[in-house]
Amino acid sequence: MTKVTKILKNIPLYVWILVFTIIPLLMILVYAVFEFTPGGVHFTLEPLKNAVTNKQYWGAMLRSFNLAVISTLVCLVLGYPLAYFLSQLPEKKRNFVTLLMLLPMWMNFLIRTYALMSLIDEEGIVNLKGTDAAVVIGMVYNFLPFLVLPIYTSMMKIDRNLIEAAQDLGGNTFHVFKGVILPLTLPGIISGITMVFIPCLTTFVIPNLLNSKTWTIGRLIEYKFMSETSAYSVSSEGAALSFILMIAVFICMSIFNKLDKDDESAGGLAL
Amino acid sequence: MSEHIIDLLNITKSYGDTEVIKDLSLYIRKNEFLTLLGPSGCGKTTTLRIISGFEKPDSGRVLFNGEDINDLPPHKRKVNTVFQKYSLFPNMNIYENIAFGLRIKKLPEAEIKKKVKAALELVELSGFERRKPDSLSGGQQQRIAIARAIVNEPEVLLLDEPLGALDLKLRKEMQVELKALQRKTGITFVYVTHDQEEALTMSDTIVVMNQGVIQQIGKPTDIYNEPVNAFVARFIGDSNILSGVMLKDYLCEFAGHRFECADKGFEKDEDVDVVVRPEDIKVVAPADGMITGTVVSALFKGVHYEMIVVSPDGFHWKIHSTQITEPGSEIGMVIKPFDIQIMKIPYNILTGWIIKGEDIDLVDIGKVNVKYLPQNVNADINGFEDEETVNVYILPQDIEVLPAAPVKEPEDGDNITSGEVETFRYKGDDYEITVKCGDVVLLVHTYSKVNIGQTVYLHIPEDKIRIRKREEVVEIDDQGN
Repeated sequence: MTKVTKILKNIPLYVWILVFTIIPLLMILVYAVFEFTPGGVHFTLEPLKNAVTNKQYWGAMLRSFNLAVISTLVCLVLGYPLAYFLSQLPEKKRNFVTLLMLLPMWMNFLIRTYALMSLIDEEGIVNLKGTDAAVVIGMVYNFLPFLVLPIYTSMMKIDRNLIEAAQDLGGNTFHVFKGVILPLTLPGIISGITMVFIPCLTTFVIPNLLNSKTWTIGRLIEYKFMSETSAYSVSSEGAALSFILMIAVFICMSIFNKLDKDDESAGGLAL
Repeated sequence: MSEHIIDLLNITKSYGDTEVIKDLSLYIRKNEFLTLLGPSGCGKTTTLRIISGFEKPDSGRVLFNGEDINDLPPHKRKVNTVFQKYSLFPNMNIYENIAFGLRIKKLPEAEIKKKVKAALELVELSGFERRKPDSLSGGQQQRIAIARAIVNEPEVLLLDEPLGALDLKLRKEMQVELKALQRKTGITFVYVTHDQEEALTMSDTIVVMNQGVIQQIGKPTDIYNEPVNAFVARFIGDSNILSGVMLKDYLCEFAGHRFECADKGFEKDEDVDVVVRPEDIKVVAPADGMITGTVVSALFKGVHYEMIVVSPDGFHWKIHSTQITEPGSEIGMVIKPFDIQIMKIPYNILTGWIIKGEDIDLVDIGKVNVKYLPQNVNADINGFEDEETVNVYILPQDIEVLPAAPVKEPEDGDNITSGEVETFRYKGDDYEITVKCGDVVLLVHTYSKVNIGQTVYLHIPEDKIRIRKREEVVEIDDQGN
């Protein structure tokens, strides 16, 4: 295949990336640094500067980080044993339990969250309305399967012989877990964390519905866009915040990726 | 007994309805190289896994240095395994792989380092410490797997077809190295393989297994030269297996000729299987041969020619010779007495008791109730007392499998019995099946194809049933021990 036909074949992909990724990202940047007024367009760093220096915005960002970290940890604590349990089931049961786990995912995200809301408000089983606990429950409920599936996949890929080899060399359950199962599921853990942490960090629907008293970065951006968008322009401060959040997400992802690679080169078992 | 390191006592193991190991007893001596040899599905790997503790026998006991280790989990047993697919930990480098077992024992790091280095030297892969398993070739990975096991100084090393994934040349090299390693370390090796050549090359003792039963235990030369039954003869090396009759001690008849042989202790005119190795047949001029034959084909095999020769009785002989005889020409064959191996045929041995008919005319031909066939059978009971308990011998090939169910239910004296097919095996030209009839299991050789679980009707001809008095009974034991 020549280089030309290769490029031709990939054109739909390039168009897709251009239209749905690159242009929207550029537009965010454009709205963040250009002011659109009836009088014309002019360059300004004011919104970006404002977004970086405003202490309240930083508070919202920090709060979102906290909630995302806690939710991800809860997901991990619940999801890892669940993935292990799944991988140990005989095939038929495994498929059935996987189906049960995925079934709620086929329902609309909003409906699920509304349903959860009615369970934990004044008339629900427990009243957690307006607390961070409610937000964490909402995030865990919505995002748990995204963490379980990659871990489960990496567990299924572990060769049973490796576990037997570890036992054969004198390893008890703890040694086998620490020496074989945990390191070999680490890539699954990392991609699971990425799949949960990023949506937790940026979501606005869940905190909106479950705790509207305090701000998260997602809620803040949504609010800016809803309230400050005019006929001429979207909220330039909202765009600036989005841009900063995007950079934060990129930093997080590169840290996760680095963790994954570090593990590959180091390895080993310290008991 | 003190020199036994492992004793397996009456082990049985089933998966679902399939019995993989049937009442297996075996001992392994200290410092020996013992090979479990057999076709796939013969139970050899399961036997190994019972020793390593990954499988629990349904019944029977495993002794290690005389101590019962049935309930000991794998990680507490003083054995280590070299797995078929190497099973190196992909997340660790070579050093960490070999150190794994030592780390668990909490050895000081300096000692671990020394031992890992020594183990790598032993398998001639010094300097590979920092490499990752997937950067190594198959042969190198296998050596690391061996190093990882022996670094723990196990008393017994279990090897599950460790060379199965290597190419022929590398396999041959590794065979020599493994044997040398075993001598050097003095560790008891229990080796599983389906490759008879591998087993013959390396082992001190070979255990030939088939369908969960030990067929023969012996030194490689004994197994090769004196196979106890047709299965072992077929499985170990090329062989010609013929049906013959033992006329008297040191004289047998097969392929239409009487041969002197080296075996004795058979009954007069006992049906036997005769094994002649292809390299033991000397090709001579037709006039000088004990028997003659026509060459059908000749293939050059490197060191020798492999010829197929048909003798007048129709048997296809396989002959290895360094000189070629053109296909179509007639040759003579000479076989020396010591090159003829006579094997007992596994009889069905049943318990029966005599029921003599009331009619005086029927005194000679009466019924013998064979324990516990559903129906009594008629047989020649001349010379036996009424109600006497006797042994009944029936050859597997004498039992006919009826093509269809008889018109009326079989009854006493029809010599027809029915049962369910339990096992089924293709033997080359006919099938060997076992049929559960009432309380006994009959071994049957047949040309008809049947299915496991199918109900078959068997006819046992009156004149083929041999009855022997209890006290005269010579123990016929196809296990050879």
